[in-house]
Amino acid sequence: MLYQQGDVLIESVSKLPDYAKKINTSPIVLASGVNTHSIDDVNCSAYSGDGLLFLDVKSPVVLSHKEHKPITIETGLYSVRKVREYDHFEEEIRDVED
Amino acid sequence: MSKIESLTPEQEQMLNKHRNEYLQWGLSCEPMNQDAVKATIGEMYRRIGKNVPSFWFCQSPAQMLIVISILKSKLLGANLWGNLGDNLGANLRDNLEVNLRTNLWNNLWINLGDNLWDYLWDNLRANLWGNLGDNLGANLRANLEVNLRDNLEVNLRDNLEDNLRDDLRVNLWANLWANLGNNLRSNLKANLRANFWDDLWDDLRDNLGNNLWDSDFWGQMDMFWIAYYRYPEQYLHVDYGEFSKVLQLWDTLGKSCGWWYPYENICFVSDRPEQIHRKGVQLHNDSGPAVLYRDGYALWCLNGVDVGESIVTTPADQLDANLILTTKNAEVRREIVRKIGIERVCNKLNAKVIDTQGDYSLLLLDLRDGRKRPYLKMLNPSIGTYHIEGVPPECDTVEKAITWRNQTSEKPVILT
Repeated sequence: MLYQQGDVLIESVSKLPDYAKKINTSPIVLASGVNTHSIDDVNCSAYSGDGLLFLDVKSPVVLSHKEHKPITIETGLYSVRKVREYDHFEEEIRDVED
Repeated sequence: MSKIESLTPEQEQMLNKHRNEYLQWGLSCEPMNQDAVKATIGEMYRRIGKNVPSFWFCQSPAQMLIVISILKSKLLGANLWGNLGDNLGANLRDNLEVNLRTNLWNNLWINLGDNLWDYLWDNLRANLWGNLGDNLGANLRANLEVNLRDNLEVNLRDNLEDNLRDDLRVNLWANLWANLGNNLRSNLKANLRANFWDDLWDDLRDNLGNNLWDSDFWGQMDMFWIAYYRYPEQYLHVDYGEFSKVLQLWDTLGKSCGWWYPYENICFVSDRPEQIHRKGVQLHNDSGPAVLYRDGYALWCLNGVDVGESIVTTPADQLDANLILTTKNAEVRREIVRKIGIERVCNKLNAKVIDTQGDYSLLLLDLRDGRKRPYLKMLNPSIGTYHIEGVPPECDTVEKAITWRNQTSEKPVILT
């Protein structure tokens, strides 16, 4: 299962990696650029490790962003990552920020 | 004697204060302190057995290089430089800054006017370097700076544990170098080289090369290494012995002026800038010069790249996208694109649509340099606007571009 809200991809995973540690934050910010992609719901827990973010969604939660329509994410485990772009002038790959 | 192994909390605190203090001196825009410069450089000359020189104070490194070049040329009559050398001594010192400079400049502008540069170029191209006074650069450097550094290093090794010395180097030297040397100094140097070298001195590269452009005397921009050695002395009570006095001279000079060029009997000294604008450690000002000297010499930088005045001052919506096609420097081109915006660049330069799929198009931007630059144009389904993102040259279809962008070929169940 793959959700996409702008530059953020939420992809289902079978389990959380061992190195992922629970982080206590509210709301949960999945990505921040000019505006943030965030979940403000007690039914979702966030984990991080190795520079990655994971979600444990106990019951459906809503992902919000100012410039994108909200997405309802179903119960499950997910990894979060950004889409990427190629800068032809810097000749480098980087995460997109919107 | 046991070595110092770590800093006390107070010494840690002073390290930050010390670094900030020297950074402020390194970026100082105060007018130079001519009295301190004369006293300090005079003492340096005395220490290497040279006569105290006369001083020619300039408002910028550019003005300084022009003055030196004019004096070295035969433009103002035969052997001007030789005459200066002979007469500089005690008589000329007091008159040099006022009378001589005024006369030379008046003479130049009255006689040469718009043709100044042509004359300069022609005259400079002719044999001139051989008639010049000796440049003391190598001598001073060998006797004072390098010698000083070597001795200070030995002293530090005796007093500080390796780890602490490395910490200090990173904290002071590296940090201040990043702020002062890496961008400010190198941009100035590159700008001067670009503006003067190509126009005037191309044929003199071999002669002038390291002697003129690569002077090791940067005044305030030398603060990165001075701060490094001053900290142990000031806060860890490391005693440099006789070299402490020499370090103090460099310290005072760094707090007093900009670049300087020492010659036999005469020393040219540049003022500090009047303005320095930065974003992080990089020179940047999107509405004016990033570095401005009091004579008007300026660097126009965006994100650390010297792009020239017109690119900075022209509003983004009036900047001609075709500039990208004619600009050879990749960094300057990048800043033009950043300012104009890639969407407008693709639009203005007629990027070709090579594939479409639903709300996606793959555009190919041709900058006539033989390279493929594909861009994925896509619709934000939430607000109905299009935007463009680059994808690697190997992407030749929308499908490949999306797969590369998302790092998966799986399609999202919901996309907003």
